[in-house]
Amino acid sequence: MTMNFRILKVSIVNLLGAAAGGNFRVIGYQKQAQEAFHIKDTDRSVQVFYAEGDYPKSAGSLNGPVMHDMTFNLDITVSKACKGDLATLENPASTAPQLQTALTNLKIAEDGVDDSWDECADLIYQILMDARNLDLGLDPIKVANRWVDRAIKDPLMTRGELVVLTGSMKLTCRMPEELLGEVGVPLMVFDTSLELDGDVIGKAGVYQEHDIVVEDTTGAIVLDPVSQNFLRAA
Amino acid sequence: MGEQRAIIESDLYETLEGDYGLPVELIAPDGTKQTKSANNPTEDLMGQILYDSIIQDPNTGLDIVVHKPVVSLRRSSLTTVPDATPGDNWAVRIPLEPSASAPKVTFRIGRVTEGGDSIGFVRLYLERIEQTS
Repeated sequence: MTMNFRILKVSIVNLLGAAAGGNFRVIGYQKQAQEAFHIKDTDRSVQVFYAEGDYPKSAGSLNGPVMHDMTFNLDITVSKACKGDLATLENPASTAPQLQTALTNLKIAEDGVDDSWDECADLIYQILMDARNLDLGLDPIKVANRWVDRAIKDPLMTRGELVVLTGSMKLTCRMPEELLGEVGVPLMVFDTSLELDGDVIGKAGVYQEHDIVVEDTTGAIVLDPVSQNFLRAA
Repeated sequence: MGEQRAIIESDLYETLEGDYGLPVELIAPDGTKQTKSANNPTEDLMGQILYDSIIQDPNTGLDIVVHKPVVSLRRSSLTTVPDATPGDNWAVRIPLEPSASAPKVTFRIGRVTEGGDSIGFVRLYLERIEQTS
């Protein structure tokens, strides 16, 4: 017995993981074997988690399925190092002008990480808002109102020798939830029908007399064909 | 006051450049390289290098070890004091591991802090450089 938001979370993880194409890693997604050239940048990760749920009350909520307006957060984490002509910088024989050129052309990590985050957010938005992914990987018409509402980028921070940039995208959608019963208790079905010989009205249900439920159908109770009342057999 | 400065310099030599010091090369934005100490040109430029730091992960509260090389240098040993002005890229070459004979790797200096003028040392926070593909 699993609520639909949990099924949908797994589906989103699988959807992003399948479409990532090695551009980013999805945490929780079981990676399949990939071509080496697909892994061009593995320092980006996306984590999907259920962040918020609303259960709006409506006239049909009493017996029918409960609507669930759910919000998922997709945390994007990107880390980068500086990029440059390391071969020149590492070479003891490099001259001062060569070193100066290499240092001038150094692309600092802050620039690289910002571009990388933007690219990752771009990819995720394109995947989730693609018309083919209207149902977020589930069967058609199960998911309604899927929408990427917001993207937020956090301030830059340096962690060790790398620069890390985090942020999140907010995905909202609506699904019905079915209430299947108490958790962990298997449902037991009681057949309360009482079929009697000569019952022209229909199934009589449970016959009660003085608060004692009579469940015997072996002939202890009979139906008076004139009064249509149940009578105890003599 | 003069005597106190001499004591501080002596202490800095012992703590940063003495037995625990490791050879360091500084590369200025104009490409000039400093490999020898300004105090004694016959000695290599030495500094104290801390390779890893233990920080607390804000998400889990657990201690984690982060590779975060930090170099401390005696200010008087430098011909030019590095700064991290935007647009000026300084680089530093340090041994790959805490051994004077280890091969050196190059880092960009991301941030520089000084312990005050009277204390006389600078601390460099480094950023990794990757080869442009």
